[in-house]
Amino acid sequence: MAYDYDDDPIHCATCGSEIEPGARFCANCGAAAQTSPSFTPGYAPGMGYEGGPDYGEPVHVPNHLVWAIAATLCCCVPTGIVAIVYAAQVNGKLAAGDYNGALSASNSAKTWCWVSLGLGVVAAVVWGIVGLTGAI
Amino acid sequence: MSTITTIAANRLELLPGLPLWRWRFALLGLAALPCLALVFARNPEEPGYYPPCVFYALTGLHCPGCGTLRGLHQLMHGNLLAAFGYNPYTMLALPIIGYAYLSALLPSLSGRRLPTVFLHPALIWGLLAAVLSFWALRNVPVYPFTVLAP
Repeated sequence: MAYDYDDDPIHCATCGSEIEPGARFCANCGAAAQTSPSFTPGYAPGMGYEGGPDYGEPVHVPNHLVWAIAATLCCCVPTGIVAIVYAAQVNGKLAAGDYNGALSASNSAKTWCWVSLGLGVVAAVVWGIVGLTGAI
Repeated sequence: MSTITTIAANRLELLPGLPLWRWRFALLGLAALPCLALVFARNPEEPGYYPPCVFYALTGLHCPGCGTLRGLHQLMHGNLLAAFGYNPYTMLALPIIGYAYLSALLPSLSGRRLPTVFLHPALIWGLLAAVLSFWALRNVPVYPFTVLAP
C-alpha cells in the first residue's frame, strides 16, 4: 500500500481494542500482540471494532514509501534511497504472498526512514555548531 | 520496555476517546502550518532564514531534493514553471505526499479514512531508477543536463 497513513492502528486479535505501535501486549486484555500470517487486520473474524472495510489488498503491510520519498527530498541523505528499495520489496513480497517477508522489509524501510531523519537532524546540528564556533 | 510501562503508555490519552496516535497526527498537521508560512514569506534565495544543506556543503553535489524549498516558495507564489525548474521531482512527488498527508490527518480529525492505493512493485523500482538517474544527471555540468540542476 503506497499512499497510506503508516500508523494504521494495530488491533488486538483477542479483544479487538487498539494497540499502540510497538507494544508487545494489549493494554485492554493483556494478550500478547501477535502479527502472525494467519492474522489479517480487517478480516479476522469476531473482532467487532469500528474500523471500516479494508480497501485494496486484504493484508495491510505499510511500505513507508511516502516517508522514503520525503527523506530523499528533505533530509539530503542518500539513506532515503535504501528506504525506497525496502518499500519496493514490501509490495513485491506482498504481491508474491510472502507476508512475513513483507513485514520484515516494512520494518527495514521504517528503520531507514528514521535513520534518514536522524542523520539529517544530527548533520544540521553539527553543521550549526561548526558554523557558530567558526563565527566566534 | 517493560510490560507495565507499555500498558501505561497505551492508557495515556489527552482526551477520553481520542487515542494518542490521533493527537500525534493532529499536532503534526498543526506543526506544518508555521513551516509552510515561513516558506511562503521568505525566499530561500535570501541568506539567513534557512539552514544550509549539509550534503551540498560537504560534497558540492546536488542531491535529488536540492531546490525543494526554493521550488515550494515559487509554487506558493504561483510560479509553476520556476517551481519545476528548481526541482521537478519534488513537484511530481507533492501530490503523493499531499495524499499521504491527508490520509494521515483526516482520520485523526473526522475518523474517516481515504482509500489506500497498492502500487505495483515494478512502479516503485521504476521510481528508484528515476530518482537515481535524476540525482546523477542533474550533476552533469553540460547543457541539456544543467536544466535539471536547481
